[in-house]
Amino acid sequence: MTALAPADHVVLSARDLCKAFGGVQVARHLQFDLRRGARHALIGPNGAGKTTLLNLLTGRLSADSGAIFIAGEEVTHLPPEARVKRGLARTFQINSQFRSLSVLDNVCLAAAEHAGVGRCWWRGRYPAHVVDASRALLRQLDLWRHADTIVGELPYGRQRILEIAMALALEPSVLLLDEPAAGVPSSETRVVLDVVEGLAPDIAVLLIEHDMGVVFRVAREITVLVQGAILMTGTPEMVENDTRVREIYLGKRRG
Amino acid sequence: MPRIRWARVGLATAPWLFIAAAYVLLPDYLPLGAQIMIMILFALSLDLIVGYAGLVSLGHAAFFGVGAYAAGLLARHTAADPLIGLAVGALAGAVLGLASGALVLRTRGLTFLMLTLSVVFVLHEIANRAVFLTGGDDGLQGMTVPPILGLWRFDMFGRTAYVYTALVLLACWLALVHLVDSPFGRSLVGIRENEIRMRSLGAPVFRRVLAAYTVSAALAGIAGALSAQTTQFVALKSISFSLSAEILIMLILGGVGRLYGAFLGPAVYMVAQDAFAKGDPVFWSFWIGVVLIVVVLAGRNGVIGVIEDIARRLRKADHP
Repeated sequence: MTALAPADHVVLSARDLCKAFGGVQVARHLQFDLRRGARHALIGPNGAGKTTLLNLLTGRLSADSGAIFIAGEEVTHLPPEARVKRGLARTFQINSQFRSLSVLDNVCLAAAEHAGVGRCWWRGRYPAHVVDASRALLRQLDLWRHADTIVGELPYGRQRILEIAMALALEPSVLLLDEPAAGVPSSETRVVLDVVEGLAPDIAVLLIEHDMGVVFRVAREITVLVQGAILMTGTPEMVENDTRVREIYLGKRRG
Repeated sequence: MPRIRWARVGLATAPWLFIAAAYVLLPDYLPLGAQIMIMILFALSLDLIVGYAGLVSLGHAAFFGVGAYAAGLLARHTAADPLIGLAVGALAGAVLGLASGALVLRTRGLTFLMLTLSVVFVLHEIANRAVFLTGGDDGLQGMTVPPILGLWRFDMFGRTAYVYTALVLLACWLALVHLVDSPFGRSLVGIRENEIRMRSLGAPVFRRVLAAYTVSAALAGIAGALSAQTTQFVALKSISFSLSAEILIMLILGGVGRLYGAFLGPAVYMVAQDAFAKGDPVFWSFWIGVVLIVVVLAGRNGVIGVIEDIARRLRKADHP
């Protein structure tokens, strides 16, 4: 992992990313760096291209032009699986687990892929280190008592945490969180937020979130995206005091 | 917990006790029994891709047929041991599975269904035209299968064939039980449940599915080889769409994704076919249709699903 990398080490960077669907430009010359330990939020009105950017970074979409680097290595033309192997993990805005399996099985599937034993047909079960790592992760995220629960029967807020647990099982250096608190009742937001705030300090986190409360609690740096282009990048204070941002985004939400 | 473990042990041993008992108690039905076990092996192979990887195929008889013709031709032109015939059948199935899988597995859903269908149509027509090799519409005949390991001769009562088929089925079943519990098997379930998520966990989905498809095709090839050896005949129907559809019906009838469903489905289907066909040879498919409608509507997952539902209700009644 990135434990030996210097503190200002850039773990993910995007250079001049462009993407169009038909005639609609959904990403315009996007450019940013994510350093080790970053807590970076991506905000913007609906349709600003936040999820598109996430899909470009993870490789679900391929960029029309521009380049993407993970820890200095170009991954622009690599498929999603290869980017995951290089330390890039993501969560999904809509819960996207293996719903008929138990919570522990879900995390084991992730941990097994990370350990490279997912193709082992000769083993009768998961190796002990995979199961142990998964159990430890469930304990750490306070999901332990749900370990044997079938995911489809898990409370919604816990499913959001499982979503994060599965990404963490990949021991990523970069974690992309797509609206981790989306759809969570306000009584449970707290629990999800605790998990996000408790993430290991050396993981670089890119957070997409609509809930400004969450954004200002977690982020140390914010990028504002409008119509596929970066409007500004700065500290939460700078973004909060920017008149354009107030007009375009925050103003609307408060109004 | 111990209750569940005993239930599992019971479920795992029941078919084998039945197969052993049938050998003693139903000597007149051994040839039918062998055919049922061959269809069970064929259904098991299909369950790996339908029930575990979640890919519904209508062309699985391509592998059964290729395995049958390969073993049949070997027996016709050489005096090789039947076990070598099985290996040749498995290899033929695997090669075809790998080659066709590399193509068709790039698609999903309806396109996949149509492509698997096309593969079996093309092979059926090849087998139909290549009369010098396959006997065409008349089927492949005139083979003599030598004794197994030079020791056990295939007898006219079908005893050897029954035991031989049962042992091959047992070996393949044990291998499959191991496979579906392995990390590889679990990852197939992951792909069935949520392919995009598996990809985002870094799993090479295409390679996994292709491996499963190849294994499945090899097992279907073994089933085909068994069929050729025990009946000393390969019908053109072995490599047809209708057999592909039939095996899928048997699997759905029994229940997918459990392995045990693959035991129940063919047994129920073929026994019903045998019984109904005696009364009215034409009308039996009507009754099969009725049975299928009832089972599919009553249980979410075939006969095995109905049994599981009843077991769950009994357990709930025990511990309210």
